[in-house]
Amino acid sequence: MRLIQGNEACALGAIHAGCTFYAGYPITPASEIMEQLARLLPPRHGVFLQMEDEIGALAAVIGAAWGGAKAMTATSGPGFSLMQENLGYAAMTETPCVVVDSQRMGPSTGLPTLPSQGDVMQARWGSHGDRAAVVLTASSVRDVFEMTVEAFNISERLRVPVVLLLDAVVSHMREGVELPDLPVVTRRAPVSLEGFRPFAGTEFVPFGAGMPIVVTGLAHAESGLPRATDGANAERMLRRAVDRVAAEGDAILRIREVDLEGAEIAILAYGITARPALGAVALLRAEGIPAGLLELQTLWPLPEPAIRSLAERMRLLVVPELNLGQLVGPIRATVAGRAPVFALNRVDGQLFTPREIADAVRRATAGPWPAVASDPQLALAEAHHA
Amino acid sequence: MPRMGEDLRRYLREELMPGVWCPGCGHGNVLRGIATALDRLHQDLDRVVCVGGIGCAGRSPFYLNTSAMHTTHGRALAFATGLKVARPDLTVLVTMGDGDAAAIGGNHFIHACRRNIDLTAIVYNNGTYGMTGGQQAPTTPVGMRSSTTLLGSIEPPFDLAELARAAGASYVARTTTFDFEELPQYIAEAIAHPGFAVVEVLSQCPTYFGRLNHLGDPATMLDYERDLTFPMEPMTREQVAGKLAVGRFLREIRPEYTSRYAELCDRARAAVERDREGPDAEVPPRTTGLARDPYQVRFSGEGGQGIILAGVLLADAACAEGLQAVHTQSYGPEARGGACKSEVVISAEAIAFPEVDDPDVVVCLSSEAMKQFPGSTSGGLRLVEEQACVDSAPSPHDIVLPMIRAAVEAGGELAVNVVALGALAGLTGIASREALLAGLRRRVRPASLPLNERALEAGLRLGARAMATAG
Repeated sequence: MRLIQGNEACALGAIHAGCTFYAGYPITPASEIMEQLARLLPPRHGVFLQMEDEIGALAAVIGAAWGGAKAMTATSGPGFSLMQENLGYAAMTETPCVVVDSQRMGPSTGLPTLPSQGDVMQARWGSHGDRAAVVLTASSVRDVFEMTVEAFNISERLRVPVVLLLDAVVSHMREGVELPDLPVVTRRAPVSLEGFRPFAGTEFVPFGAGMPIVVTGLAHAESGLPRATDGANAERMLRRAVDRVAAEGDAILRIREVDLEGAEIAILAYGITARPALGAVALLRAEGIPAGLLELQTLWPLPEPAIRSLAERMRLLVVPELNLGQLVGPIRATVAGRAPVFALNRVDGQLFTPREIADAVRRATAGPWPAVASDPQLALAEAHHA
Repeated sequence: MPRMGEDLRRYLREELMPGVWCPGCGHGNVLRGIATALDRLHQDLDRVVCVGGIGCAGRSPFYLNTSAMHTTHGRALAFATGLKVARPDLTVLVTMGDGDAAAIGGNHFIHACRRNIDLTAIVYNNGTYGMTGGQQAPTTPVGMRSSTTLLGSIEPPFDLAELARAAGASYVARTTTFDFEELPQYIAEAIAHPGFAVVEVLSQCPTYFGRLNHLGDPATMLDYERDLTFPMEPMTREQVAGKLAVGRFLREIRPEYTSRYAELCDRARAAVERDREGPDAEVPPRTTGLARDPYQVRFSGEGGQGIILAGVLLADAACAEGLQAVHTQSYGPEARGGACKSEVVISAEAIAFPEVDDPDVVVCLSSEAMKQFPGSTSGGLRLVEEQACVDSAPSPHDIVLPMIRAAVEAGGELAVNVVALGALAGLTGIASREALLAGLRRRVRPASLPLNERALEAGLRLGARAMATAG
């Protein structure tokens, strides 16, 4: 067992997944990922590039991906905002690549060293237009390693940019871990170049491999050639990319269930907030309150089947988030009134403690029953704001 | 020597023609220059990628029968940078307009020049934003009209060739679509040049720039280009006041990025072979239970005191003894000074909450930390540095130890973090001496290891003495 930092586990996961290219720009709390890869990539004859800004970083990553590299970048909120332009380009061009966003409290420069879960919606909808999106999270150092590998695997298999959301605590946290040996997926080459259409499926041919490849952010035909005024073609291509991700179902919808057997109250949490939620479940169970945890490791697509099934079985759901209520909206839409969904939020750069979440659950269960408010919002106990 | 009527059709993607360029646009002349250059250099088209930005010039990749990457506005050079460094075997051309290269892409442009990556950047400079309707560009000459400067531009324009030279490009040339022979010649030189090459081509936009400035038909605009410029070599500064130089500004062989990167990889590999670490020392597993499980420790002090390393070493030791451990840290923007904390949770079981919410021990190495981090509310210890008590009075339950003095005696105040770690272990038995030493040997540079080993011993003695005193 070795003591490994979250950001280091991310870099090690990238190397395990076969990452051969990293481009980035320094930013707290993500910088250690680039520092580690600046050390790990050159001796493996991989490329490490420090770019002039985050826009250029993701641009370089996409350029390298079309050169055939498994490529990634890492950043935090302000840089992630700058990357939205090229994240949309990666989606439009069905480019396999990985973007890690270690969230810090915003908006703007915000609280640079403190954790947040404020980029959940930006990771899904931050670039203009609709697009296929896969967004993963991690709540432990071991998970950071696993989800980084998973991000590459999904990205390579589906030809989609994958975002991994970390946060300042998970990034900087060190835990004693054994790193698992995980399977690695590599993008598929077509059987033959004869008549190959680069945007017809998930097969991939890089530049300089025997046929001219045309890549554009304009709407395009399956050949890659621009079709900038053909709306019907554009819709068909977009729906096909979105459907490709949706059709994956459980293969990419990763969840972790704790003590949900026989539970009547479920805490839905993701990322670092799953840790105090886990602590809260233990505290509540010790008092005889039948609580359990559903940890969402995939945020987008939202694991709707698991949430719906939970809504059928539970008396109430509590969703703690380090934002003013981002994922709770789509969760409520998925639950569709089958159970009351309580939101618990903080944006002061601090984690919830297990006790705070347990207290909030107790307050939720103590209210009038069934809950009257359609969008119940729990407050943190006063003491924590003192 | 290019000839009129030369058959360059194999270089063109004719199925996309006619393209977006207006009749009389100069960009077709530039494309001819690129095709002629590729032909003259006998380039294998499968090894050529043309990367374009957004705008009229950015469309060029579609019309060349090579691989094409039509990117986002201003970012073409950044895409090309990633591609070329990942695939040095490819010939990468970058086509951009003046707004694309010099306004929205200005930052990427100067940095690409600076890195000297073997790319060929061709800037089609028509002094305006053609695709969006003829607005002012950062290259529009003072006094010239655009759809956003109807009374004439009052902004001084960039001289792109001079900008490229100053920013570090190793080949720079400027020509015009009037200069029929020089255009393909400079592009061919630029592609053959082993480094970052910029060819700026003044190109006519009759639809906007020409019409708004009453410059006449496209052929007359070519005369405008001729009159706007002067060939560098035979002319003196006096003869050319107010005009733009054309010609080859610079051709220098300098270390190229991808070659240097390949050398760096070899050096990195050699260093890894040389510094291969031996296995860690065996540490006996912990046999006694923890005083409380999970056991929570907070180190606090100011940036530069090694607070984070103290926590990391404690967590390392716990792992080495077969326990679960989580380390978290919290700090402000200051690398030195400011209050910071470093927390460790140790348990025999999996740890749910990674932070300290009820510390068993708080270590304070600065007065600011004493104020910010009180001891536990449920009977934990607080270990306080003696000198920190000058500004902040300790509470009656605090254990005050001269840790800085002990560090100085061990050979340097910098080792106060390791003294504190030793004192904590001596007092509480939370980590064994062997486990702490194993961590020190892995984390600390060999040169400072003796100091840190002395500091650890001094700390262990301080802690043990405090333990004896406290009973």
